[in-house]
Parts: sequence; structure tokens; C-alpha cells
Amino acid sequence: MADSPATRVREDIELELKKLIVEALVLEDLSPESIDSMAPLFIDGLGLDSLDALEISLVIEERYGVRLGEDADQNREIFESVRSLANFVTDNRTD
Amino acid sequence: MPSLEEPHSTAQTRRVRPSASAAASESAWSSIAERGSALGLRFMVLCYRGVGRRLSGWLLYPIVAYFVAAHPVARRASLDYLRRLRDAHPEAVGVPRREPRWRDVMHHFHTFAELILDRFCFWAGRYDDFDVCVHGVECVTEHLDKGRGVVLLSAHLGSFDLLRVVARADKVAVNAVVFTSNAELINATFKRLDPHCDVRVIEMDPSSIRSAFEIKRCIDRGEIVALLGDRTGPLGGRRVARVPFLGADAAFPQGPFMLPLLFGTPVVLSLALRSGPRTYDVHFETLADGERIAAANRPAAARELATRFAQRLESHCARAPFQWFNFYDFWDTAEVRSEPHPRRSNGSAASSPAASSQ
Repeated sequence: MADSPATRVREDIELELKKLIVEALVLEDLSPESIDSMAPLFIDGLGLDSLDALEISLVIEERYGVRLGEDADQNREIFESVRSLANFVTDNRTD
Repeated sequence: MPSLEEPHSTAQTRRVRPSASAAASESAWSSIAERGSALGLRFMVLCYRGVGRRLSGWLLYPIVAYFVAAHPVARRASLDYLRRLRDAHPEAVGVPRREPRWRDVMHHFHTFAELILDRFCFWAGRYDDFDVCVHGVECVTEHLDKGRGVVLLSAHLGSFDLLRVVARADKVAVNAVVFTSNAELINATFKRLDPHCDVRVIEMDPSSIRSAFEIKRCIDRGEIVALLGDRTGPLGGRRVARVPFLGADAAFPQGPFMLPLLFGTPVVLSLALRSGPRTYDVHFETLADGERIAAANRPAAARELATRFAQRLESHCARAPFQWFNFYDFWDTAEVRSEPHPRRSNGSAASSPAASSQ
């Protein structure tokens, strides 16, 4: 069964995001492809912290024109995983 | 008492009346501090209210003696620090050439207690009791005047919460970044002293990204964000920069240095040092002018900034040695490991291992 176009677009964004994350956070031993889209980003999983969140939000803003961090309650959900980031970016990108 | 030499970068000097509010003190040795402090702080407040500032100073001696006797970790940390200071800065004021002894440790703790009593005075509104000389405030105001936010980096030397008082004199919002758990105890104490005190703190929960974004908003609004640069804390607690301090590499948290680089925010070293029973000298020194750094260069730039911070801190330590209050093994703590996060480069060549404490 072929993936829908929407799924492919989302996967592309997810991979792009993974590359951005690895680059921005200088995660030298990690390949973007090996990051699980559904894995938690913070505390568990990738184990990022609040400073990492800031760095990620800066590169995402530069790349997609999407401002992150404005709504404190939203943040928790958006930064849950690469998948949730990708969904937010897809819905809000202005590039 | 010998007077302090003129500080390194004095431009203008100006007198200021302290005008407000509290920032909380973070304690890496918090298990010791928390156990003793709830009782100790209450006792000190009672003394202060009961017999005033001066007599409270005398009453401190038995408390301090007990503390020195009962807390070998803190005692050893003080001895180790004084030894390192003596070796790195033979010219340091008041530090004996001989091996540090218990009486030096007593003096060290007593100075710390005096600083706390002074803070009670500030928060209780007794401004007229103090003369505050401010050096280098233009390092801060030149940016604020352009609507640009500034990061103030302080340390556990002297009285860092006096800085907020000075900054408030200029009517700019100051946001102090503190650990949630410690903030509550100390805020409660200060509120008891001054119920009208307007505390503006950003309580950092290391597991939450909310506070990091709140800091960004403060910077965007052109406000001051005050951070402590000498302890691991709420910003990226794992990552450290090992840079030279008093003759050996010490682990400084990377977060407070990385954060202003992320935002392209100017960084100003800020210290308030007691120069006499009723006088303080506040020093502001530019550490970074806020140019934006590309992501790949940031770890190295953060390390450079940390190095500059440590150098200037060391210089001020030599002038006010007993006002250092990191009463733990600063050069090799269990909390801050020298290994970088397994997935991150720390952007630096490996530095020599810290000399082990005696």
C-alpha cells in the first residue's frame, strides 16, 4: 500500500527536523535517520533540556518562519516528539 | 581594616540608595543549607528584629561556631578554598600565608552570616544604613537605553541580590532566575521581613522548557535577566565548561554562558562586595557585547565567555576573599561531571584534570 502524499510530506519534514536538531545541538554521534519520530525529546528519549529547546526553536524559526514558545501551554505538546514538532510546523509554516 | 584597591574597570562612580526587593539564593550545598537554614534563618530573623543589626552580629558567633563544628564538608571546602586562594593570590586581603585554620573558617562563615544579616536590612527597608558605590553601571545602561535586554552574571561572592536593588533604582524590570525549591524557603523569609517586597523571579524547573522561553521573552522586552554563573542549576545542568579558577580547572555550568549567546544578548559581570560594616561596592563589567554567534561556534564561544567570567571572578575574590560562599568542593563536585553529555561535543579541547582537594 502506498503512503499518502500527506504522509510523505510529513516524513520529509520529520527528517529535515531531525537533521536540524542534530546540527543545531551538535549531536556528533547521532545520525538523523536513527532518531525515532515518536520518541520523547525531553528528559527521556533524546534527553534534551530547556536550553536545547530554545536552540531548536531558533533554528525552526529561521528555517520555517514559525515562532515557537509564545504559548507556554502549547509548548509542552509541541515539543513532545519530532512528530509533534513536524505537525506544528506543517500547520504553521510561512516559508 | 585595609581598604579595597580600586576595581579593574572603574568608569564613573555613583552613590545609590537601595530601593527594593529580593532575589533568592541558590544552594548547591542545599541539603546542608536546607536542614540548618530553616531553623537558622528563623533564628537570625528573630535576633535581627529583637536586638537589631549590630547586636545580631555578635549573636552570630555561637551559631557560626556550631555550624563549623557540625559540618565537616563545608569546613573542608572553606579550608581548601582559602588554601587555593593563598597560593594563587599571595596578595589577597586578609588571607594568612600560613596554613588556613579553624579560626579562618570561622571568619569565613561569620562573614557569610554578616552578608545575610545585611540582606535582612535591605529587605526591611533600612536603606539609610548603607552606602552603596556603583562602578561601571554604564555597561548595563548603554544597552537598556537602546531597549536592549541584558544578562547579568553574578556569583556566590558578596551579596548578589543587592544588584537587583541597584538595577531597580533605574526602574528597569529585573528577573532573577532561581531554583524553585530553594526560592520558596528564602522568599518566605524575605516576605516576612518586607511584605510589600516586589519579587520578580523566574522559577526554573529543569524539566520544564517553559521558563527558558520566559527568559527569552524578558530579553525581547529589553529587561534584565540575572543569572548565577558559578553553580550548576536550572539551565542545562549537565553541561559544564571546565575553565581555570584559582590555579586549577573548575566546572562552571555551561547554561548561563550559552543562553546569552543564543539570543545575542550582552553579558555583564555583576558583583556587590561588602567593603565595610555599612558600605558596599557594586561592580559592573562587560563580558560580552552581544554579537550573534553561529550555532557551530557557540560551544567554543560559551567556553571563552566562561573563562573570562572565571578570570574576573578570581580577581574580585582576591579583593574580598571571605565573601565567597560556595561551601562545597568547587573544583570537583559530584553534581558536575567533566565528561560532556554523551551525545554532545562541548566544543573545547580537553583541559587538564582539576587538582584534587587535600
